[in-house]
Amino acid sequence: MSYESDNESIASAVVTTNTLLGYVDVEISKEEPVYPKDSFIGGQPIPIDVNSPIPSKFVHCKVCSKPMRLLTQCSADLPGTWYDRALYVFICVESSCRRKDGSIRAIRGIKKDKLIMEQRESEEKKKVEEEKIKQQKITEKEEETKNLVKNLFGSNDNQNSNPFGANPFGSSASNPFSKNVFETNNLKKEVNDINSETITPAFSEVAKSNIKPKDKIKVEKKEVNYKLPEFKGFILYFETEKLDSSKQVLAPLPDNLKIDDEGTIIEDSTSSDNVKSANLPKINPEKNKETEDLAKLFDDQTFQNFTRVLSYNTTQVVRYEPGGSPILYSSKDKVSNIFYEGNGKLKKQSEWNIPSPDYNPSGHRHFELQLMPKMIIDLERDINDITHIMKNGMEWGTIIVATDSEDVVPLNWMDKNGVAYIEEWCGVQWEEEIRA
Amino acid sequence: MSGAAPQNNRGPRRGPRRNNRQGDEEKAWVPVTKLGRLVASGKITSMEQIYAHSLPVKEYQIVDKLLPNLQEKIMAVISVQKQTRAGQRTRMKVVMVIGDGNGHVGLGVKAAKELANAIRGAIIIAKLSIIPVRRGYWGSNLGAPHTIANKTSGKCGSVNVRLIPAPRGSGIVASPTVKQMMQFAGIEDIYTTSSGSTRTAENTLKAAFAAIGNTYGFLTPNFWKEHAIQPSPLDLYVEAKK
Repeated sequence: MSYESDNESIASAVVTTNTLLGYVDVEISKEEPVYPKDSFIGGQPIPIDVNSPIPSKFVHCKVCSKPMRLLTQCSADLPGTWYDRALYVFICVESSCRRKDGSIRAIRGIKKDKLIMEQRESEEKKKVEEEKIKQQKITEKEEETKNLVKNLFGSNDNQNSNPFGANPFGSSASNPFSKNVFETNNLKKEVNDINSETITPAFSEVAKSNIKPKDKIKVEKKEVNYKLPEFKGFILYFETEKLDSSKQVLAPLPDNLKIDDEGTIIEDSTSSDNVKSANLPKINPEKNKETEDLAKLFDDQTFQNFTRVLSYNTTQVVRYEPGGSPILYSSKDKVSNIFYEGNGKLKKQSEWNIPSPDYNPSGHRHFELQLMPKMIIDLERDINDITHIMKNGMEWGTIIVATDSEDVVPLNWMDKNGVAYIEEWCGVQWEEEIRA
Repeated sequence: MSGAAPQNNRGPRRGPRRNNRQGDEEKAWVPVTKLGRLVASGKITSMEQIYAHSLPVKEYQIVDKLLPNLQEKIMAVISVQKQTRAGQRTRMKVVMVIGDGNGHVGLGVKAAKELANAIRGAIIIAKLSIIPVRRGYWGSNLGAPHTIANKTSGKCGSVNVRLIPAPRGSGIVASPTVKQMMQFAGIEDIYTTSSGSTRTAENTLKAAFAAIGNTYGFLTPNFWKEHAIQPSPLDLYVEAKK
């Protein structure tokens, strides 16, 4: 038996996690178009390079081989790398494909354009350098003021018992102002030198010269040979997750009930003919185990935990944290076996058995992205036909996408534009099935 | 992208929202199941629609929305202990009954380290466990149903609770614990009898709850499905015999 619910009592402080949460922003429209680096749900996928669309084998359902709809496209550049990276999740909404493997697919798109990568790297270097110079300036200034103060009271060194006895402005050598002004001028000059030396040529010229060698022979243009149905599209914005218990949406306690500091219940008893909680009998829970089943039936710890995490930020549609851990919707299906042990406890991260990537047999996959069911509300917002929803409405609870932890791309998979699309593992937890 | 700090440069685009309208949707319930979405959008309007198709209710907000007049009461608070290597670990166990006084009743039991969490958990479980009560008449079918339709019984642990229909005006003849549950269930007149260790409030309530659940378990003739009368095989093959 696990006691997950006991961990609920977190202190009232705001806890920030490393997870990025995606929220729905504005609808995709002519005024609000999507750009390749955007993250959004619904709509049409934007290939990572204009000339290299997603291969048609990836956007068709593995079960019925009909074209799928885009659930989300998420720009997912990795820290410490300079290439473009995006994740796509597609779904087949045919009711006959529901709950079958291959009806939801996750694709990782990589674009390694050397020129752009170099440019970004130098840009980053420049930024770091600028930052350094800024820091230097600040420290210099601090030094300067320190020296000033020192020099002001510098007379202490002169073995004079009275600090005010000797006039600090008396001798030109000890005059703090003339000297320091001169020094800063020197420093400024130095800084300017650094600026003119390193930065100016490093960037604009490199960029200019780079444009020329981009000959047209290299570009390979592929046509899109499929048309995908689509959901209504919305652009996402991301924020780091904050677990703020003051904003949590909790089940309210009954109004006629108050709990005082010692934990005793004070009840405004309108019907006072009832059970007292005064002398608490002590019962060993192991003894009456068979009577627990009713409560167990409705006490789905995993699901309660899922809704608890959601209760802090109810409108999240995407959770993004490379190397993080997913929040499971159910503990009874195949996907949960990967993350849970038989006794319903979460495994250690190293013990998760997410299938290893077949293109990189020695590597392993880690969690990266999770789609939350609020997304369905947004995507199906316009459908008012109740029978259509009952029959064809989406029924997934959450979709977990795990990618190669080293982000490996087999070299020969890349086309001439430096673009590769790779199918990644995606685990879907469906809603409880209704047995007719 | 522009203007972001270097380390924020990667990963999904962060930054200002394009649209800053943030209404009161913050506080609203965001369903995570299909049933929840249908209820929240007002496409399912009664609990009976859910019962008719035996749909699993995973979110307590569904019950909140469909049965707005729910009343709840804590029936028992006990402390339960588990022996661990470091000594005993005490948790609070709450038994809660919930009902709308009109044919829906639920029972929730939950243990947690903190009382407030136990109460909250018990309420959620009670709401998810809400069942319909079949009410009927003792004698003639006059007026609204006031008692149950037939005798039922339920058992939990050593406790046996038997419910017996009673004539109008009898009131609820039961122990205080069971009486509270019958009131929440919307039964006006009933006789009960119980045996076993009824001082264990939890088991008594579970037995009573099982008995109430059995009211719909008994298929009375008026609920029988209508079938077209099949012709007798003797009539059907009368031609072939000849």
